[in-house]
Amino acid sequence: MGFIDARELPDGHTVETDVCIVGAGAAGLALASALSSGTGGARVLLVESGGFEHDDHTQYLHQGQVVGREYPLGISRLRYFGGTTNHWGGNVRPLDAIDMEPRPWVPHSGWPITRAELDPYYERALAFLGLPDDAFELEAWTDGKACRPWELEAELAETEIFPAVAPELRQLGAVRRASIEESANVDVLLHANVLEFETDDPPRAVRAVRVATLQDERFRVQARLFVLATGGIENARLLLLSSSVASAGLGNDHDLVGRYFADHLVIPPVGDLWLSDPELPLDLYLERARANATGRAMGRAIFRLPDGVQREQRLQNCGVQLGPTMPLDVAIRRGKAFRSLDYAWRAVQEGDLPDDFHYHVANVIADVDELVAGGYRLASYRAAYPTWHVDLIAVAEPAPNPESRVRLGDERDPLGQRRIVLDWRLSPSDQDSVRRSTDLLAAAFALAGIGRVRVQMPEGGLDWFRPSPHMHHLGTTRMADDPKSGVVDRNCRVHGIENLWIAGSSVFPTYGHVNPTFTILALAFRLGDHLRGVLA
Amino acid sequence: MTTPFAVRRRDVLRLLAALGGAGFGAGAGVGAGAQAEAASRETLVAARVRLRLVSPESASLLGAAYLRDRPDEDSPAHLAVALGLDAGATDIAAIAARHRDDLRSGRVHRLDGFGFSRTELRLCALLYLTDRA
Ligand SMILES: Cc1cc2nc3c(=O)[nH]c(=O)nc-3n(C[C@H](O)[C@H](O)[C@H](O)COP(=O)(O)OP(=O)(O)OC[C@H]3O[C@@H](n4cnc5c(N)ncnc54)[C@H](O)[C@@H]3O)c2cc1C
Repeated sequence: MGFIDARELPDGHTVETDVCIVGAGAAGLALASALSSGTGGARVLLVESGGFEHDDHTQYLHQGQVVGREYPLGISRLRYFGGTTNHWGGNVRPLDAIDMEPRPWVPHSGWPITRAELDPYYERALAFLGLPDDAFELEAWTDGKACRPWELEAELAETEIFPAVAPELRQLGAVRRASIEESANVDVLLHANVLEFETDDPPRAVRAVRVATLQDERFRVQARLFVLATGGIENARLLLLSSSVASAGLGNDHDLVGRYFADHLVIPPVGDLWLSDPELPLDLYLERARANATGRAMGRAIFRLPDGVQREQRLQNCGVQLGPTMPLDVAIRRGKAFRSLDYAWRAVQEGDLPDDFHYHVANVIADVDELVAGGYRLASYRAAYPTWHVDLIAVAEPAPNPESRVRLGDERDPLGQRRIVLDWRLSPSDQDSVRRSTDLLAAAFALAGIGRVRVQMPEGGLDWFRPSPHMHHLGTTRMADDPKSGVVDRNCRVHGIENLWIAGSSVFPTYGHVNPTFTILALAFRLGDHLRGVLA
Repeated sequence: MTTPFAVRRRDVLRLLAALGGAGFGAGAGVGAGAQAEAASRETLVAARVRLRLVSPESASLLGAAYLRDRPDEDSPAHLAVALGLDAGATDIAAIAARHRDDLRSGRVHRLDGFGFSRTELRLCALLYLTDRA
């Protein structure tokens, strides 16, 4: 079993399988892994648009039109095996429990499932990414000395760890390739662009997907079960394009497909923190590496307001991280020599020699002049400016907004498919919530004697509010028990269609402040369990 | 509230240093000489605060900026009431508690983007007015 090049299939051919997963990015790969055993021999076929490498012609299929708020459609998703994990940052954290609860002050909020239901699947996601079991435990990242959390009053502000997958484990396509090759029941069809879901009439079940290569060979894939896992924008697009029978698009009886498009809001900086003590330890809040069984993990701590404060103040969730303390500091920290030294030193402290010790020694030796010169410059900079400040960068949760949406435009891609139009919008509460959260965090810092924050967000309406998108595509096929409120049900099945499920962040009805992929993976593992039940 | 006055970062940092980082620490020691000098509660408190300040001028500057935003508070008597001095709160610990309470409940005034508790700015204002007197 393994990889099949769709360009070698005969035109008009029909491929048969049991489970057809459309898209081999984070969601599709995790689901395939979940279904690679315990399915009673059911065959799984991943149908992927790209090949193993980036290719401009395939990527071009992703283009669309942006109206309203600017959005980087091009670089925010990648169309080849491994999907957007081919250049993601690897930062992971579970949603907070409050993110999944209905919050009366956040219209349209709440998931039909709880955080506790996701917990066991988050554990599987950790293992899938090669992260240690204690990746989210603060103590595991501290040394009680320079690397320790600030002493904030627990009911006012929290420090939490934001780990990142080790760089060598981030490209999930490359990482999973061997296990797919060895798998007894999982195949991948590469260079295969799904064009549409074919359904019965009336549309109660999917019969097949219509597929085309860029060379315009056309064929079909028939399966018992179908899963759409093409990313937060393309998931909506493919449902809308599947309009041969359901004229408004599949699962779109209530005009919800494509609506509620959201992204996390990055606001750099919301303020700068003037430290009362220049010796205050910052290490935990800056990027750092830690040895672990499968290689290494990266991590940094961020700040957040506790659930109680969010409830009382009627806030949306928001995470705040320390920005670069000074350009020099960052330049040195980002340098290969510093990172290798830091990594090897920590491993030695933990009583280990890293496997690739020689590689790290070589890095240090090769760049020793940079390390020494940088260290000297840094030391003299600090001596000259003993009291310095740090930027506060916020990543904020937007409120679900039905007017923020993906729809089909009139332009067509080379396969004749209508391209999308993205109309990304914010809500007035988005900026108000970030502003008030910053004020509360500033008060927590002042009370703890950490320092004072100079807030850099003027008061006022949305017109000045220019957050950058985080490039997370959320909400376009949201989950709800009631078909009038959501596209998929609590098991991620498209309402009204008996054999079509969706994997990915398009199912998030509310978004939290954390990056989505960890939850995408947890949901994929949960879906895997569910589909195993359906197959049985 | 904002002010056209640009707070110098140095002043904020000096005030911070003066307030012991954590704002007003409890149990401020006050010399007997200062007490003897004090003619009224306001001046007593101002004198106590001054003793703790690394840079009373910085605090005074912030006080002046606050009063520009809040001219309605431009009198020692008014500030004394606002700080609870009329109720006998002359020890710094009581005022420190008030300052912390302000920060907790968002009674914050902004000077050039920096958020200060109303209590600390009123103290600064008192300092400014007593300096001027
Ligand atoms: C620069 C950047 C940094 C990021 N950093 C982080 C981070 O640090 N942490 C985090 O959690 N998230 C991060 N993300 C987001 C993360 O990459 C996505 O959440 C994640 O990749 C989504 O997984 P997915 O499987 O739903 O979609 P994708 O990974 O985009 O995969 C979709 C797959 O579907 C295929 N496909 C699309 N259309 C079709 C079609 N019609 N037929 C067949 N196949 C199709 C694509 O080729 C692709 O392989 C980042 C994103 C960007 C752009």
